[in-house]
Amino acid sequence: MTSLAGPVESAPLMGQVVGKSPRQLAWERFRHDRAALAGLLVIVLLVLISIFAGVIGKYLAGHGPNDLFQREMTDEFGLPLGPNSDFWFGADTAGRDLFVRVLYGARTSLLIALAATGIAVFIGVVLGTAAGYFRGVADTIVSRVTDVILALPLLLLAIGIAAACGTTKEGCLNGAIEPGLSLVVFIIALFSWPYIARIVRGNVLSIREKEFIESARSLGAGNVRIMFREVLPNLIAPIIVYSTLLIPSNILFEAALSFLGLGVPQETPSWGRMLSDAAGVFDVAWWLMLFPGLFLVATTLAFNLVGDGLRDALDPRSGR
Amino acid sequence: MEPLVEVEGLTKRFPIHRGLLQRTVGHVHAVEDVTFSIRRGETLGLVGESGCGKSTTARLILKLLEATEGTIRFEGRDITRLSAREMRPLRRELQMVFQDPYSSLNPRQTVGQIVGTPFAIHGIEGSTRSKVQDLMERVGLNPEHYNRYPHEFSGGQRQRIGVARALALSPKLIVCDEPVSALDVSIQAQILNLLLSLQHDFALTYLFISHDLGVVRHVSDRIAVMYLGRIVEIGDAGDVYGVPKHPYTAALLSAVPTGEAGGEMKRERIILSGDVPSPVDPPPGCAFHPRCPKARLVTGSPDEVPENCRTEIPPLRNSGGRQQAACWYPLRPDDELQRVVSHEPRGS
Ligand SMILES: Nc1ncnc2c1ncn2[C@@H]1O[C@H](COP(=O)(O)OP(=O)(O)O)[C@@H](O)[C@H]1O
Ligand SMILES: [Mg+2]
Repeated sequence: MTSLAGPVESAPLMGQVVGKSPRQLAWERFRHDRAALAGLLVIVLLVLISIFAGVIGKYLAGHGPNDLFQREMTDEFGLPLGPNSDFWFGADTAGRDLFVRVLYGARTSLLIALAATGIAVFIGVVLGTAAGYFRGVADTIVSRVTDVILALPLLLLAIGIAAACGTTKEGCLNGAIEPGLSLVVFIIALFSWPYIARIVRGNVLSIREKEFIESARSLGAGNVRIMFREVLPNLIAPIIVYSTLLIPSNILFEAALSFLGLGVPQETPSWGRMLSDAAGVFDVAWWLMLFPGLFLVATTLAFNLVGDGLRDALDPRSGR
Repeated sequence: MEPLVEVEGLTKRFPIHRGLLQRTVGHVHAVEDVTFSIRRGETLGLVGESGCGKSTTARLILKLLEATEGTIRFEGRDITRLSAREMRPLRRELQMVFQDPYSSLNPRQTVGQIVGTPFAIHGIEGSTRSKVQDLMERVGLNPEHYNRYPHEFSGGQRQRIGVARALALSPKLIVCDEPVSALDVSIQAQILNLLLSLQHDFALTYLFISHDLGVVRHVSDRIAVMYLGRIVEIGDAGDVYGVPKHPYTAALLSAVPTGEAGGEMKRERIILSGDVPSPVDPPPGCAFHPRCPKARLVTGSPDEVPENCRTEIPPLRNSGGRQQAACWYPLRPDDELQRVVSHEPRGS
């Protein structure tokens, strides 16, 4: 709240005062938020892990994600063995190095969640802006569709789509939708864009009533200019915040689909699938559940912390 | 000489929608049959209580709203039904300074971008930066603050930014919609003086809107008083302030602390009974009749008003003074309005 009390009428004379942009002010606030910084650190580490999963696996463990070590890492009953100096996180039921697979799992999780969130944000921003700006028919259609999608029993339907399109090699809709990573991304994006659309619509509805919009119109600005120059810059903060908060829920969505066996293909390492593999044997192989679970929790927590930190830092009321 | 702006029979009714089917169940009579003209180089003050239709009138003239009825002429040309595209070149001539110095500046744009927007929209060649900085200097801002954001300025400075933006395209008419209402009293005079000096330098014509008669008096050559969407009195500032002909004008003036309104005579406060009626269902006849002290003076009873006040809408016409008033019984110098209602407020 620097605005009202700060500069006074005679401020033009104080030329030495250095101005700060809204972005700089937000960063100032974010910098002092320890939880958010911790979250950011975790995210940076996860991104590095995803990018360098292969390198790290090779040099630290010396194993690939699908290398089988049945002789070394399963006992006489075929059950996996726990962590040791060579296999830090132990082995999974197939005798693969869980440490390496968890690293690769980060890549899968982030890739799918980021891609799905990116698509969802794009669709949500376009439709939400159109609905809020033009109102009328456009608004009615977009609002009804978001209502319907948000009201659907999401997981149930996702299971349906994944089961219909994911089991046969040809996919469904004459091959338009094929099983695999892109199908998972598609399903997650389909169910998450309405969140963004709804938030964007609400923000646009309130921004379009501001006098600066009327001012732009009185200067002769057209709709396109008003949307891109006047409205959208004011949406950047909420879009960033809610996209950041959407990522962890999409990570969990992917994990849930994979847990149900409807997510990524069999050989792709995924935390969700690891957890489902662990479900049958966790009483004898606790590490199977612990390590993927820990990473999943840490990742979603980190994104949530950063999202909350961004919300506090970018809050338009404190930024005015 | 032909007036810069002529408004005739201007009317704006906002439909009220209710229910599932959004049926129209009534109208807000925001502006009703308003006629006036603004001469080149003058300031026409438009006063009235909040909600009487001042901003709507301004938006109609700037074509930010579509008129329900009536015509608007700018330099003799009928612009009432021009499309957005046809209006575009005219946007350079008609500008507006807004009431709220916070909501009227985009918080995500720098001063440079805000004041430069008019140049960008109209594709004006040359260095925008130097033009913007000239404007900033002219309105009393430090040109070095080109890259600052609105939140770094005080309310008065923000209003200067709004004035610079309105001035950018060298308009002929600037509509100032309560430009100082949101500001500290100590800063109001600075902005008013800025507007006056700009008017002098650039031969500007102002439509100056305010609910504060003291402020309007300070800047206006002529004054129009609005009540419930209609103009009830219009004329030279000296006449309207000196010898008001409409009882509503007299009541408004009596509420202005003496000295500030500059009235020649000492005024006793006229307290109006009741509230302003809803513009959804304005009273028949003269909209002011339910509260009018003069009508009660005419009948001699606090509960009765003359029949024509209740049934016929009084036209704006010469009413004994040099100004025009819309009243069946315009004030005379010996009317003592404060007597009529002050001893027996109705309905209490
Ligand atoms: N867009 C709108 N839709 C419906 N009613 C409106 C709209 N704009 C203004 N009004 C109504 O019209 C009347 C006049 O409003 P306005 O012109 O803003 O008054 P003023 O500027 O004198 O305070 C008010 O009753 C207001 O509620
Ligand atoms: Mg107003």
